[in-house]
Amino acid sequence: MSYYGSADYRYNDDLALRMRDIKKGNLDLGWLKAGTESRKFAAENKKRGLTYMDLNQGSYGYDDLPELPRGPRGAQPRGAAFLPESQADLEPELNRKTDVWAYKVASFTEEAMSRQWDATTDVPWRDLDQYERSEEIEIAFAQLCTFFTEVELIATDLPAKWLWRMNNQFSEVKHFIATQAMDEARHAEVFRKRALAGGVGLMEALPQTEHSLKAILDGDTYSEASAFMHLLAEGNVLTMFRFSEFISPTPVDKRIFQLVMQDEARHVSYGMQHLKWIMDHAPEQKEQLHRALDEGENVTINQFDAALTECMIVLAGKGTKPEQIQQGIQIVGNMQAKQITEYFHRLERAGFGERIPRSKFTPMMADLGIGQGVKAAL
Amino acid sequence: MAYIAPKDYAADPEIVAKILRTISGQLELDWMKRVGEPAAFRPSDSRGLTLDDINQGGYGPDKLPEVIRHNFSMAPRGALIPPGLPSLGYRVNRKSDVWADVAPSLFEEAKSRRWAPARDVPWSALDVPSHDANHELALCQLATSLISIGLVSCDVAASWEWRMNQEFHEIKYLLCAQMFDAARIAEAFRKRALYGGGSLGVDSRPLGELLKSIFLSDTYPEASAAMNLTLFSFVQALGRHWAAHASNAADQYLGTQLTQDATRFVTYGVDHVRSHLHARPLQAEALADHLDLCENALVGALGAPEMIEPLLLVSGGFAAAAAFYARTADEYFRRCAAAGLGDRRDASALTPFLRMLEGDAG
Repeated sequence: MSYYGSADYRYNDDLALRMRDIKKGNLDLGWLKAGTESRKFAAENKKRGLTYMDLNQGSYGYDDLPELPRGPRGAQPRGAAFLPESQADLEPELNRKTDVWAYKVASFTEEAMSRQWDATTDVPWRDLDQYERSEEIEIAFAQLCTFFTEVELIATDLPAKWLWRMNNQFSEVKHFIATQAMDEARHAEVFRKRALAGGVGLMEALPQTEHSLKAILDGDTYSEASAFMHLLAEGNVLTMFRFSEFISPTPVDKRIFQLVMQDEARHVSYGMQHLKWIMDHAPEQKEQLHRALDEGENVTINQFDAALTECMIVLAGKGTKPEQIQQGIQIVGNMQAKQITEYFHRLERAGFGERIPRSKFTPMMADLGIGQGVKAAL
Repeated sequence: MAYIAPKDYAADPEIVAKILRTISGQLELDWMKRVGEPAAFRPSDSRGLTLDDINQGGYGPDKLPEVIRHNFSMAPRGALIPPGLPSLGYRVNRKSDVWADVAPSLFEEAKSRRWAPARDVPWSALDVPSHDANHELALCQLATSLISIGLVSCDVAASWEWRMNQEFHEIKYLLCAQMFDAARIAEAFRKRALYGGGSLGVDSRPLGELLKSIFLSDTYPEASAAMNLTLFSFVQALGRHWAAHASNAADQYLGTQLTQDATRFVTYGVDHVRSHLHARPLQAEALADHLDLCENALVGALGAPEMIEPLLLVSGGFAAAAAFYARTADEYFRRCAAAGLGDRRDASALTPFLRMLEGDAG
């Protein structure tokens, strides 16, 4: 036990006296005079319901939350009355708004709450039997699903690693992170189920990928980890989801990618808006983020050389005959170039365009001659 | 950056050469031969493809050893594990520290019973006051406490989820669902307190101490017992109480949903503690010690004016509030016994507290 409360209530005269008083009808009622703000909150859009944005006013709102919320360190909700000297201090480590905040985070959270789905019932699993797939296509798809099952849980572990360290004043961000953890658990679940429904089962884990995941999990700060995971890694995965919908062997698989894409897009948007918030409010952190992304991009480059690339080539070319492989290479090359250009566009939109000339992807893609789109973006 | 890759891959001619070989059409394709256990699972009934449907053979949890020694990476259970996978630093690697057979079903339930406070609560039912001003302030004060409970319960689940080995992915999924559910409790009751001219109440230090006692538990089994079994037995009862005393459709809905969500926490807690003690009976002492301290903190929270007084106003008097506490404690003690913790009534700080509440005053 790491924490012992301030009183032993078995032998507590204050408690006994209080209960005796309450029994007699002598109530303290101090809580009735909380002195907190009273405002007329209502749903602005009845169809959308009562959102966090509707509550964004005064001491209850997040717009007025300062960069350094001095005082609150416990479980008290933002806007509740509390005494700093008597609160139970939960010792949060992330206490600056800049550490965690993102533009539009409240609306991302509301969207996440309203767009939950269920991998068990929202995918027509029985329909898989209706579609014939060659063995090599199913093997390639099983490898792709093994990869997605492997990587999706990093996006539960990483948010979970940081959520409990955040001050409860940032409740909209914490709530968003909780929704992301749930989304990603569902993604890992749906790809596992697909791999185990297709006939092949799970295939081999990928060492290059695992080193990327470790690098994400071991980020020194939440913002570094977020830039790497939300922006770079999930950005790449989002492009892969779109591409995978395109090359899906069956309509059942297309449905899976349509479902996961909307979640992933939300996570990437949060990462971009968090980065933008940092650029606007703490530009001194740029060099630190550059260094984190230097290494993030480095481990990402190693992933291009893997079974992952080949399984996508087989799926895109619809087989392993030489002409199919050539077609697959063309399609996957375009997809990989798109991953880089979209990443660069996101950096620009976040106000971190200065990253692009420094990116490790820039010279490499140019050297490989598969980066025409990248050059166009520069 | 804490993790530095062994190579600067951007400047590694080997990588560039391999990629160029791939681009020229020279694929290795050796990965296509590394196939594991074949699987073509289908839904066993109309519910869809559940985790129980796919938990078969080497993919299921039954063959998991008590201590995980073979995988500290994110390789999914049942996948082939090549050499060279890094350790991701998992600290919770014993099956009996986390496992509950009911967990996969609870995760399935959490997804299928989803609701969104923004649009599923009939907020307009609160437009016409259905009780007096003090009653409304009492509900706002209770809602304030429920927000704190939601916030810290989300933290507790998060603080352990990322330390658990991936071989226990169903438990990790369930903890993600707990984070989601707990955050929703905080959201729903924040909206309830503030809607239509409401306000938040005061922070309760004794409640904060209870939550801190749970948050800073030394081990996951201790955290699970304290949160899922002790705290959520109270939360579940409070949900029922909220619904039973509701005078409008919004409160009726909120109380019902809170009860439903809290029940999943309690169910996992009972099954987890039972499995844990079945596998490791000597841990009973450690869990009992921890629950002694958390129940003591619970007494502080239940006896605090910020908790008992609004409950009294909402319930219709002292006797009703005391009966609510007694009923809740009785259910809790029965659950502890069912979980293998024996009869905790004698040891618990709740028992003398309940005695204080007994008597003829009302």
